[in-house]
Amino acid sequence: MAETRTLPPRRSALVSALKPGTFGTLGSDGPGSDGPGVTLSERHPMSVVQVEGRIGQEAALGDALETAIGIHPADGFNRVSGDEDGPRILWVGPCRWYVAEPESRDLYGALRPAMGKFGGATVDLSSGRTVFRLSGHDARRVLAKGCSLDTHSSTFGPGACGQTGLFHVSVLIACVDEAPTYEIYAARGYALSLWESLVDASMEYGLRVD
Amino acid sequence: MSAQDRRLPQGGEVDRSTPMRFRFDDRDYQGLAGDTLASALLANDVRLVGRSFKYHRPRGIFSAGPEEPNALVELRTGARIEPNTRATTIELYDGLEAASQHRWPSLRWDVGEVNNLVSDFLPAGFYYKTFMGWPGWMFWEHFIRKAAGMGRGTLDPDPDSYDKMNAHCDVLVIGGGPAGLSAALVAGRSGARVILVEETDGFGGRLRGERETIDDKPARHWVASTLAELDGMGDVTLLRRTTAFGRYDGNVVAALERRADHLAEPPEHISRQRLWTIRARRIVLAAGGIERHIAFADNDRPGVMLAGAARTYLNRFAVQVGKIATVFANNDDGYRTALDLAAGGVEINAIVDPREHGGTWRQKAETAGIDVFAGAVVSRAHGRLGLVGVDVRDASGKNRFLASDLLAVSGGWNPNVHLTCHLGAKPVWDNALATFLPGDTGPDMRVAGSARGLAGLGTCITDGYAQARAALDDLGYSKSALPDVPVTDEPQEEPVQALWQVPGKGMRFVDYQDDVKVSDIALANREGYQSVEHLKRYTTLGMGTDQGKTANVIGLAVLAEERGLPIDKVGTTTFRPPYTPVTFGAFVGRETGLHYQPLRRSAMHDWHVANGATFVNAGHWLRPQYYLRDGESDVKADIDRAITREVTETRGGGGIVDVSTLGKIDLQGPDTAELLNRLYINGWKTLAVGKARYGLMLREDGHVWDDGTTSRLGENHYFMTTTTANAGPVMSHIEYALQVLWPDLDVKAVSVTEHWAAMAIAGPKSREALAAVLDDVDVSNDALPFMGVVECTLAGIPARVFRISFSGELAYEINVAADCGEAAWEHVMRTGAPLGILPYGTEAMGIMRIEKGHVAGPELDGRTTPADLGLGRMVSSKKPFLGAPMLTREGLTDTDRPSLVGLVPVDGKSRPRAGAVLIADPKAVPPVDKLGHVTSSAYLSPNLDHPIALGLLEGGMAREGETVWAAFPLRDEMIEVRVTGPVFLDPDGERMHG
Repeated sequence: MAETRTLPPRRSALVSALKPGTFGTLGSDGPGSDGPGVTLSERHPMSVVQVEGRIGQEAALGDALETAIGIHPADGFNRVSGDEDGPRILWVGPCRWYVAEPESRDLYGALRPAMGKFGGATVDLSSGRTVFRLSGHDARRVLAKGCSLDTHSSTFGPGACGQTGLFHVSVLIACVDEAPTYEIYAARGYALSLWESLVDASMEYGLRVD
Repeated sequence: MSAQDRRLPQGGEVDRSTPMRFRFDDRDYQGLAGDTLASALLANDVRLVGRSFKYHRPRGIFSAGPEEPNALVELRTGARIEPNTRATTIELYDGLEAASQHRWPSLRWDVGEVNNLVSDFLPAGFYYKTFMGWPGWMFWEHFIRKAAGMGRGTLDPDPDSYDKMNAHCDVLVIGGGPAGLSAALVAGRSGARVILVEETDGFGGRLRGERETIDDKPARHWVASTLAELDGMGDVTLLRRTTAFGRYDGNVVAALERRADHLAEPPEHISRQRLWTIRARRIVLAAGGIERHIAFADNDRPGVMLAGAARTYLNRFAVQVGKIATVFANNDDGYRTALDLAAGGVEINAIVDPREHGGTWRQKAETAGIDVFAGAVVSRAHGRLGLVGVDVRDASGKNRFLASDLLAVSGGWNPNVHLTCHLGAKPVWDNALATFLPGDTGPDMRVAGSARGLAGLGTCITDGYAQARAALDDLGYSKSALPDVPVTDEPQEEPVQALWQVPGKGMRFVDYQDDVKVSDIALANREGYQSVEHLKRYTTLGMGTDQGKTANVIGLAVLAEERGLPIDKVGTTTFRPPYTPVTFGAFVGRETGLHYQPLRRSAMHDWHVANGATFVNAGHWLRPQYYLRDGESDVKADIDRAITREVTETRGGGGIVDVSTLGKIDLQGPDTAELLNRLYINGWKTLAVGKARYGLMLREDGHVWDDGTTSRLGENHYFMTTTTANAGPVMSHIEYALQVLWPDLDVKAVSVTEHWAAMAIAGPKSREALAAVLDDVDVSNDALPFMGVVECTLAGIPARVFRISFSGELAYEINVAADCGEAAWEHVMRTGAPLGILPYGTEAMGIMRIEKGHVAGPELDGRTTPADLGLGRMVSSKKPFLGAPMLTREGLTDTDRPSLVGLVPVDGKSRPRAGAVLIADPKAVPPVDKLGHVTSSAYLSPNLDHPIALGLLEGGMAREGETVWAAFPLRDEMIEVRVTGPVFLDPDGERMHG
């Protein structure tokens, strides 16, 4: 039985900046004429736990993850399994994954005993990552302003993830759907700076903040 | 308002229904939508547009593209003023303002023209020869720069924004002319991801200035239908007003998109310019060619123009640049100009052609009633402020004067090989074409159309197809049928005959922008500057903003003639990016102001802001430096008061500081203690669960690298802290060590810096405060001794508490999940309020650590050893560790090395500055022996009531009690300081251990 903790209230790194509404070019001409080209929001609170095993344990660890949370890591590297609203498993390194879900339970407390028998390490990063959700037909252009990753649907479609720089901040980006929608995991301390850059980059396409 | 006298009533791409007002040199004119500034000036019969750089010769518009050497203007006004913009590439907008350059007081009456009269005394190398002696170039430079002009900039901030875009594609096509369009079409139809960049506002390239037909219809129909098809393809990106200016390793191309230069002001939220970084699997370069001129006497008179440009102004802009024209051409393209001009109502005097042979084009010209002077050359142009006529010398040497207000010159075409050279390929001379062709560009770049010396519209279109097909084959795209080859009407062309210069007296310009003449090149050669690289630097050939686009090949050819060598033996200078000038703003993009670099904020940042903190940058982090209270402002007296308050009240009661910026690394695995043993100089095998230990790390070269505490949280679970500055590097090094040095160690390292918010409570009341803050935790000295660690909760928030001290006080560090950081901090402030707990910043923290002689960044400067810092006893002799072998090097064990001491001003009030040099004798004459330096300085120790400092001093503590001098010559400061021990306060640590 997993150890459980009561979950204290959590404060987003973006409290001072995140104001819902529509912004930027939304006039009758130009790129924003068909409504906001970009929708930006924060997914908060999120549980993010890094699980890591020894090289060679991938299969066993994957089975144990499936037993613990109901999904198995996707095969190969830079891949994601699971749904946006449920637990997801994102590849971040050899025999190393993020397990992430909207906070509803003590995910770390649930995973740590399940992973313990493999050695390795299970580490709670929930507060250490701010998760952005960037969506819309201009989302790819916004990413391209600050990121050299090729996010074309042929190479970075739903189920793909990658670690890269976005406006000079280290991030993990995962493609969620074909809208396209992206989830962006960034270090919490950089969250406000990255938020400002994303908003700035989105303005010319029309931006809705949820 | 001046009428557009030179505008034809119909034809061209201009929109006669959309007039545009503009102003040039304080005079108002009108142009049309679709004009460039150059075409609008020419439509208004403005022939004189600038003065030359060195001789201040009157100059007119010479070209119709980015190669323009003469028509450089100051564009816009105020904060948007931009010097040296080419009138030939500026799209006209309503309200445009521009001014000519290099002239004073006016364009027609320019004082600097005296340089023209004394030009015999201003040959190549004049500045080098004249101003290098006494009193030196630095003296003269000021005056020369002022006289030279080159336009004015502005010191005002740029009101516009610039941004960047990354792009990826299978095929990047550079150039939207016939070859580029056809290459893009083939690539697009294959399903490849295609980017097509075009320098101007529209596609078509040369076709925009031609009267040619494709499939018996005007060529613009073919352009439009091709474009429409490309536009409908999902994976084809068309970039207008975009110049690919550099090619770099990995097939990366940098391009500048001018998004709003054609507008008075950029629309809201739109950047003025955008820098593109395009990663292409294959490149098709279809950059076309640039026409060159011929050097003859006074060939820079306004009214002398490249033949293709005269044709472009007529066909694309419906402007007659002359009424009576003479064409001087050594190739058949000049005949096309003559025929087009004649069809456009310009009277053609004659075509002057140095070639004797005839061909289809000559027949066409003669059929049209145009005289052809075969075997003849133009030997001189007349007309100071505008061309009035030319001297034509025939084969027998006889001269005749032809009255003309336009001389259209064509010395042949140079393929635009610039981008083929950026990765090191050298262009190859082709004798038959009398031009340089692209060298070996490797498989990643293919060159199509006239960029590789091909002539003829049909040939270029077919070549575009072929080069794209070849690129697609490389990439494995399945073969699809090539588009039909369109029908074009092109007479057979006769070969060009190389002609670089026409002998004669007078100034024969090779490089207009830099005023380099044939005689300068000859002089450089005589003086021994025979290498092209020397020639360039001695004469400044090709060193203007146009980079010699029309001039370089002529210059090389003249040098070759002077040296009696074939051109390919003379070689070329190096083509480097950028192809055309790129504004710094584009490289900066949005990385300006607060976003110069990303900022990093702690979880308690908003609290600090709300409570009077002034912030200091620590790497990317923003840290509270001190907290001002109501009524205090950011002035020295208030700042000193705030800092003193923070130190005094922390030492007297209790303070709290945000230490979230410290690096934090989670280490798990059975071999973690062994890893720590190898990383740190001290031993780790005996650390008990629930205890912390201070550790020091060396670089592999034996110098101190970083310090911090590591705690043992569980049997195989450790928690390391690093300094703020080295958080990233230490983490990287651990990963490197685990993957490369010691893959056998079973340890997992995870950076958790961002997950944990950290705060230190320090001061004699900190235990009492902690007891109130934590939920039912025994914090007595027995339960939580010095270097003890406990996991607990704080207002229901899970926390880790470490009894460690940087301030020298009884102190505890509390870590909580960052999302709970502000709640925890507020809880501490609220609960601690009755005890007088106040927040303190980095200044107070710095003073307290200096009072305690604790080393930090200024002492861990990468040049010190543990012994230098008084930490020699920490070095374990029982185990190997990183840096140990190098620590015993002779230089690192030298007993004369500067070591850590305390320094106190003898007068009790002067503040020694960090960085001051420690010397023995304040009156010594330089060079002075350096004894060491001040590393850290506290303006005042509130507890000692005088300034204190730490320093590294030769002899170290052996000098205790002696005085030395802290010299800071930059500020003319010389302070006598007494050497003391580095621990100023509580040397036995009773406060900390109590």
